Amino acid sequence: MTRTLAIAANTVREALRERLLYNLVIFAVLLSAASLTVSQLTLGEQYRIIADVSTSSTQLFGILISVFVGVALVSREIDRRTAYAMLARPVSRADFILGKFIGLVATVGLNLVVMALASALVIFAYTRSATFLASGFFAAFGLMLAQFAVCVALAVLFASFSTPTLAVIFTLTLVGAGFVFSEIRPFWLASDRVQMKQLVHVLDFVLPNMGLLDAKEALTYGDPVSLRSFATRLAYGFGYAGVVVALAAQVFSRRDIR
Amino acid sequence: MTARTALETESLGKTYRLGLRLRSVIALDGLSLRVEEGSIFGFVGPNGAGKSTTIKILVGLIAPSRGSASIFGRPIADPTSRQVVGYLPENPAFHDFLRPLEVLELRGKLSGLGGRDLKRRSEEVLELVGLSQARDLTVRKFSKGMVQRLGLAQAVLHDPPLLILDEPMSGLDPIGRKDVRDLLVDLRRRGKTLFFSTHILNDVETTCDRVGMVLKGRLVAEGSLAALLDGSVKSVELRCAGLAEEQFATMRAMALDGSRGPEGWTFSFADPGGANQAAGRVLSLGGSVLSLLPLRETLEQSFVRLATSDGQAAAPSTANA
Repeated sequence: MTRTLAIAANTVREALRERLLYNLVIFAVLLSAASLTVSQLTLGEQYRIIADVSTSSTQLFGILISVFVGVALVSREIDRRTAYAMLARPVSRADFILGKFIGLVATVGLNLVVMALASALVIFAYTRSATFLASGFFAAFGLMLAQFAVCVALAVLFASFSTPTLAVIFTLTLVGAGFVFSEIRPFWLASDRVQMKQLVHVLDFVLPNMGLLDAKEALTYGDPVSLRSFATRLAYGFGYAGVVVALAAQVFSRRDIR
Repeated sequence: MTARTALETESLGKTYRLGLRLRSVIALDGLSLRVEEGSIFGFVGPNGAGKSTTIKILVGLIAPSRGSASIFGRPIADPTSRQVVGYLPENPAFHDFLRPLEVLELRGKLSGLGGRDLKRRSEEVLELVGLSQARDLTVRKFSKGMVQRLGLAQAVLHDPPLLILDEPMSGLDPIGRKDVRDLLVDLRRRGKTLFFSTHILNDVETTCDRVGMVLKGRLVAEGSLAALLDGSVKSVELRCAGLAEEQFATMRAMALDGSRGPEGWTFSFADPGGANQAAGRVLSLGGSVLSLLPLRETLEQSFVRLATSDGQAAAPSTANA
């Protein structure tokens, strides 16, 4: 585990030097702040706009950071040959992949804390009260970490065997499909066609259920998420990410580092 | 007493499948060799011969398609076999935002070192490779030679008994190359086993006990330097001074070749008898003999002979001495 943590710590260090990461975080924070102005354009729904824009910008930019930085930090280790002298030590490929994953999740977790703080300040500036913290704030941002972990795991998986460009495309496609599928899933299940239900079961297994990990509305509508629901959904997110990371370790173990 | 085997390969092979049609390219074909503990083994061959492929298989970066290999008796598929290996990749690369001690700290942790031991060892190896003065610079500011030295430092950091070095002299200036050669000899004196690849044959001649020559993925010769080189005298070189221009023409007629150098004249003769006769003639003409040197086959000539011979793809030759 010491070896895995050493790789994770180095990954955090490397990720924190990414200019892209800061650009996206700053953009997300600015967008949250801008929601105060944008909300002036509506009548009576200002809190909803502010909460929506803050959480959505955090989610969008968090996913982009997870995918782009995740792919870059794995691909680069091979392209720039920095991984050679590391993998030639008594380090298994699984240690390397797990270390990368832990480091990347820690990095996006740090970013999430910054973006969540910015959102909290913006909401507080409008409401002049901290009651929103008790109504879904932590669940909304906590489950976002699980979403980001899924994105990072997929980015690591695809970066472990394909080019950076393809890895980004594959990851964004799967994440997007995960969001879309969670929206259309109930309709397909309600359909009379038996094949549809079978397809849903297959997709349930393959695609990440990003909707399940999305609790933004809890904050928007002040609808708290129960601890049990939060824990189950968090376990699903990290469980899915864990399976994807195990698959990535398997794939990477078979890869020749030429 | 028989020395322990540090490294052994048995019919090791690697075939790549390239392109959409999965075209087979054989990078390594049936490589069998044995490296004894405490020796320096030079692995020579031209670019693309299969040296780096062999090394990457040995350190677990590439999986072999055929055959087996072991390090101190442990199969290379077992990651713990790499605990006793120090590896220097060809053109080593490090995270360029780190300082040398930070690079060593990360590599040390991956090799199971930690705490004060790691700090002490890092300082020692940095001193050993002459990078102590550069401890405050990030790798980004390093010259190619400094990166190569840092590569050597991380390879010896955990004091491994076996060092596998891919082109260790690459990118170094003449002084740097001498330093590395001295370091390799010093490491051998401390009981380390060294296996290194190069296509600079002079490095091999000055440092190695045994040599393996690889061509087109096959080991074409393996053995001690003396046994690999054809020891017979190929020609004799006579260097002399004090001859007049017309006397040079007389001497040139006796020799295979002749030329004027900064200190006088140089002639080459096919055999020692002809050279002796010519030396007597120089003296009788009033000149002076500066040197009389028998020329034997160099490793480079031996390598070229093997590379250009018709039987290069045939069965490998093993020369023991």
